[in-house]
Order: sequence, then structure tokens, then C-alpha cells
Amino acid sequence: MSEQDFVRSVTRHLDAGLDDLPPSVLYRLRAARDTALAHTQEHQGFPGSADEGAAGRPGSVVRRRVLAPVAVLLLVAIGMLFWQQQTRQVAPTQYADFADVDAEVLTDDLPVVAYLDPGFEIWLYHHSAATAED
Amino acid sequence: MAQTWSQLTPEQQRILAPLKEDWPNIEPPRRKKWVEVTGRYPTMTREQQERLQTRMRQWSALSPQERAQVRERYRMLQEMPPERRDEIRRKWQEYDSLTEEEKDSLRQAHPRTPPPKP
Repeated sequence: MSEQDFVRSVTRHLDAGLDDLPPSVLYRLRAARDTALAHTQEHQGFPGSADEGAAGRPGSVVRRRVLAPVAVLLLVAIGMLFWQQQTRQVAPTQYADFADVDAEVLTDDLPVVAYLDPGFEIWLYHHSAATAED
Repeated sequence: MAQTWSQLTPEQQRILAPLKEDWPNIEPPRRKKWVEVTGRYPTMTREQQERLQTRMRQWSALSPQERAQVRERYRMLQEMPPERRDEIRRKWQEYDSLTEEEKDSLRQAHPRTPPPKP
């Protein structure tokens, strides 16, 4: 008997014995299979089926789908925090600046009414237009 | 802590009298600035003092929107070249020397803005 004939004979014998396996052996085989599958899924980090897992790293796709919005949200949150901090820092300065403007406006050569007089606006406009024509 | 009107010295109250009614509505940083102005007041000429008093009376009569407009235009003026600022001041002198009738006719020629308060 050649080596190949021997392998075929053993395979036939094993296949024939599959139907006669005792329940305890069947239980251990099923438990081992489940453990192996669970280990594979855990390793991929994807809670889907074994077929999906075999289709080409779907776990990484899902990770991207979940992580991308989270990253965007984080960036937005950081941006808002930065903006709020900037606003808190700038606002008092601007406020003090406005206070300066009030005192400056009232001590300037140009009176307050000049800024609000529509007649002066027209006067200035005509003067500028006349200057531009010259 | 912002200074209330009663916390001002009698001299400060005298100088800032045109702003008395408006004082509770003036924001703390601006009150502080006005108090600083009272410190400079004695060093001003009589003419400057009178001008400031007139301006404060005009200022207190303005609405918040008008004050905002004045501040905005003042800022714009400060951003102009010095020669343009001088020119605008000179033009104001010319405009101010017009009769009230002449000023009114110019005001009426303005497309949007209503005439200012007398």
C-alpha cells in the first residue's frame, strides 16, 4: 500500500465515524468552534458575522465611520472653547477701547453733531465730487 | 466696582453735570474714563472746558444708536490719512458757517437720514 492509499483509507475511516461520534465529543467540538470564532471576531473588533469578517476588514470601515464624526465633533468643541477663551480675553479690551473713544470724541475738534448731520454728509459728498472733477 | 454718582466728589459732579441723568446707564469702563477726564479738566483752557460741557450735553441727548453711529464714524475718521482728516474738519468749519436755511436745504437733499434734533 502506497502512502496515498493509506491516507485515503484513514480519511474514509474518519468520515465513516463522524456519524457515530458520541454527544460529549460533539459538544466539545462545537464549544471549540465557538471559542475560535469569538476569538477571531474579538481580534477584528467587529461584532458582525464571520462571513462579513472574511469579506475584507469591515471593522476598520466601521471604525472610520464612527471615529470620523467623533474627530470632527472634538475639533468643533476645541474650536468653540478656543473662540470663547479668545472672546473673554478680547472683550474687556474692546470695551475699554470704546470708553476711550467716548472721551476722545467729546474732546476732538470735530463736534459730535458733525457725525450725525445729514446736511454735512451732503456737503462733504459734493465737495469730494467737485474735487474729483477738478 | 463702578462709581455711583454720589461717590463722585463735588468737583467731579460739577464737571460731569451734563451726564448726571445718564450716569446710571453708563458702563463702568466709560464712567472710569469720564472720571479721568475730570482729572484733566483743570489743565484745559476755558474754551476747551466750555466745548467739553457743550459736547457732554449733546452726547447725553443722543440715543444709543446715535452714539454707536458717532463712535463708528469717529473710528473711520481716525483711520483716514491726516490730510483727509484735516480736510473734513475744514469742511465742517465751512458747513458750520452756513445759515440754518442753507443747512436745512442740504439736509433735505439727503436721501435717507432724517434731519437731526434741533
